[in-house]
Amino acid sequence: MVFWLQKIYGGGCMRKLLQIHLHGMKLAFFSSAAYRSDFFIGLLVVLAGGLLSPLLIVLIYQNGASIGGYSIYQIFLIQGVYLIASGFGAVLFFDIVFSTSFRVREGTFDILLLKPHSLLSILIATSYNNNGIANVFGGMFLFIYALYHIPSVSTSEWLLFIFLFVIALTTLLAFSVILAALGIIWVGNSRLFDIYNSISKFASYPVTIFQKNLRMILSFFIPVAMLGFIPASVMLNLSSPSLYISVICCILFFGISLLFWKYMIRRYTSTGG
Amino acid sequence: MLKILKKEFAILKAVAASTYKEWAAYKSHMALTILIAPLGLIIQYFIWSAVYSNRTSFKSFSLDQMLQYYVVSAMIGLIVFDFAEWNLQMLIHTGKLTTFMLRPMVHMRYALYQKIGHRLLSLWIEVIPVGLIAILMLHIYPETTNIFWSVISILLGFFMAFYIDYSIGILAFWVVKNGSLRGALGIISSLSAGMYFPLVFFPHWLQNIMFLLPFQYMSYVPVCVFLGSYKLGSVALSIPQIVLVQAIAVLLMYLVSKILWYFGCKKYMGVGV
Repeated sequence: MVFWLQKIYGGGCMRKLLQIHLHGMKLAFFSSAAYRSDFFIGLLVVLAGGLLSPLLIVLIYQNGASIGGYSIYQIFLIQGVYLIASGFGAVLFFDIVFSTSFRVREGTFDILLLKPHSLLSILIATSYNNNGIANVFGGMFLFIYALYHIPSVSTSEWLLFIFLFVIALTTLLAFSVILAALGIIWVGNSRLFDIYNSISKFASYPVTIFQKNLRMILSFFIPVAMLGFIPASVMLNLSSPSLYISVICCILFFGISLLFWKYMIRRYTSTGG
Repeated sequence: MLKILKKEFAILKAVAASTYKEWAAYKSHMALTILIAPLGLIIQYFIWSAVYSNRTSFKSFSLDQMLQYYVVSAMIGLIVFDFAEWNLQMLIHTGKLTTFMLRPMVHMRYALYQKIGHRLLSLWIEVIPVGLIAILMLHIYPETTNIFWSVISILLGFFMAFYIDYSIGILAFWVVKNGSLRGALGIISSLSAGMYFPLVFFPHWLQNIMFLLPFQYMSYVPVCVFLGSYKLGSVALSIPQIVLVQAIAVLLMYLVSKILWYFGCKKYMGVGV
């Protein structure tokens, strides 16, 4: 009980913050329900966009070719993990990128600064987006389909996979925080998401097909490999001890993103309005 | 006649120049393409290098031809890129279209001239740098022996992309919240235009359907003309023949957009003025 009422970073208590987030989720749901047909078509659009990479894989393998000795199911598993992670990221927090950019341009970002809670947390609470759920389902479908066609996975591998999946979500949060922070000074840049979108595409394919230096960058410096390949490699028996270094790099990446966010908030000068 | 043409050219110059200057203020937004486009090319480079590691041909493409396809497709995609639909739906929904209705110039023509100005800016900020990156970094050399037909076909692709996009924007006269619908049509048109991968990858029956759709004339046909051969489904045409078919398709699409515009204007009530 005491835990719920204890003061937390940025102001307020845990119970209050949880209530705000639940309210944010409810609002997101009701705003989708207001334009149901648009919402459902939106789900299909997100799903279709997410399934473009698997479609390329199907076309390649159907024509008798393969990628770097991987079976189609192994690649589906990687792409399934990536889609689930990015889907959860889109539902839970990725809209802070657009939200920050939009609010800074419109001058409504200042309103959030006045709230008696952590700015980032409030921003997340007001940026839930239900459309990402389509990628979660699309990814689940690919993931389960691939699981049926690969050797069985042990309990310890499942546990490690779940741990790495949480790290993948943390990495995604770090990406969204960095992009949102960029939106504070790069006012109204509608292409911030394109940067992430093009970098994250690397996560849909086995990292081993890339050149050694690029592999290092994707595994340790801009840890995109954690979004798909590294968690999937545990289930495919392809993991190496270097995955633990990647985990540390992802946690560091998250820490850097928070520092970057704080730095950008300090540089924020109210505009628009 | 010459007087009318001179006047029209003066209008074109004025609208294109003002759009050019307007967007030149946001050069950094556009210049992000220099970062984003090569990442997409790098992924394709490694995927196809892995595919060709144990074969010399895939769907009658050599590795060199495949990589050339992606580079030329990326460059042509940037030249024909259009956002008229976004602009138009915004004007319709906010009622700002009324101000254009009062001008002695049809909005469609105005939007086309805007596109010319926008893409002229893109030519040196996006298209040429992407080509140079492909040549200098990835050593992919886009070459053509059909320079005359390529220029004609790219210009026709430019107009086709505009009329398709503008027609999608016109749907805003009937559908209030059409963001998802526009997204869905965007994915279908990009996929059917061969912007993600060559259309010959698809099953034969689907290629035959795609031949009847207008989308391939935006990007796939110009890319094929540039690379020197055209085939889709059961149809194999010489370069002059396919450019002629493309010209007819552009004319038809122009008529379709004019008809849609006529009926759309009848629905327009200027809500929000």
